[in-house]
Amino acid sequence: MKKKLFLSGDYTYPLYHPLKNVDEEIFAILGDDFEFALNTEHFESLEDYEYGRFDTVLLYNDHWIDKSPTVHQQVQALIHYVACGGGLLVVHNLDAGVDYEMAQMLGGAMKKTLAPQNHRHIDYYPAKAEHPVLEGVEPFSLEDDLFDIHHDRLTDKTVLLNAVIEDGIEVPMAWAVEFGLGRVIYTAPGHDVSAFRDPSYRRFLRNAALWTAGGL
Amino acid sequence: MRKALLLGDRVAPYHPVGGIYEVLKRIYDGVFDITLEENYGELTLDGLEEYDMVISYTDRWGEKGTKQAAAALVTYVADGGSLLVLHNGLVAAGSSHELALLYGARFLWHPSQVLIDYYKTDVDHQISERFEEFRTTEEAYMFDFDDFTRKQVLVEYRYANSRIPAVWCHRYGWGKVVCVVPGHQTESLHAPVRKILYRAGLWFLDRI
Repeated sequence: MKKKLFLSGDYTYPLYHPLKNVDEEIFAILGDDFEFALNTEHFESLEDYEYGRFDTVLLYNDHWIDKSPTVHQQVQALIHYVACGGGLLVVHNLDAGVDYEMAQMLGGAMKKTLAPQNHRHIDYYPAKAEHPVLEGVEPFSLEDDLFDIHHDRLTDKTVLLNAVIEDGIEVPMAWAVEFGLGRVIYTAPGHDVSAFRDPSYRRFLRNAALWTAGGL
Repeated sequence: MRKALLLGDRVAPYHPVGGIYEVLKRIYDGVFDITLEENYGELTLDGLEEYDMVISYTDRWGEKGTKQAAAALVTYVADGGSLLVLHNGLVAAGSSHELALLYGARFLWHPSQVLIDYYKTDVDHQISERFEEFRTTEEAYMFDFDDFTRKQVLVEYRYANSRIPAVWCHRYGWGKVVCVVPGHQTESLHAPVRKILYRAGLWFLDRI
């Protein structure tokens, strides 16, 4: 039986990252394993209890800051959902303005996007970790954003993808967190639809969604 | 009368809860009715929801603590519950990252007991109002503090030329957390600490 996924992103007023077009790739990547139980850009309208319907939540929203009057309610609902056993997969958009509790659970918050923006060539490598999400994932390259991320030292993370930037410095680009009874993954690649067309990254995203949903 | 749940161990390697339980009953007399829970590895959100305050004085979390119990505490607070973490309750955050994030600190270690001066910080807060400086022999707990927690440090002490938080509080989700470091034994609960504990209870209930 297919697992239930809640997808949220911005169609109408995206700041930088519209879900339009990206959604079609996500449907294609995850369609065999997931039923898209809800696809909305108004994720802030969900009540706590409604999250219980989903095996995992995939967030591609890029303007949580604009939703600040309601975002606190949403953070509390997501923490409740994950701690009780839910799955959360946050793709690309790591909001700098998100409530601190959410940043802790995700393992960090964005400081800024490093220049040059949008079209920076990045080589991604699977981390040397034994993790089911890395099954069949090969190194890949994209033109994408590179974020300067403020990591939370106290969050226990398993790094899944690294990138090598200037001076040979390796920086984490995706990681997994087991939070309470639930599972969280943040993955940085995904500035635009081209990232979602890379075969290796598609494999990674499928594994990641399944793992957060308790399926790997 | 409001209900509080005290997590602790009557039989414990370092911090048996018995004496502290009696002191806490006197401090919160007329405000909270306190129940002791020793089987805290089995905590569930449903079980916690009936309490207006949870006090953690766990001494055997490393042995008895579970992911389920940590998840229950995180969810209880995120949903609007009130958590008071006293002394060795903070040590659990050394082995549970969920609790470290909830408390805003990961316990690292402590040297042997030393003479410590506790003093109020510049932060004005209802909990530390009219706090009087005091000196006692205590364990100087060392922490790795979370950069993200929006905590207010109310009381500090000095150790090895560093200023170290001894009492701090913050909101987490819809709930509230207060962490109090001094509390190794009943003798550690000097009048200023008892006052902090009492006022933390009132802050939880929005009575101050």
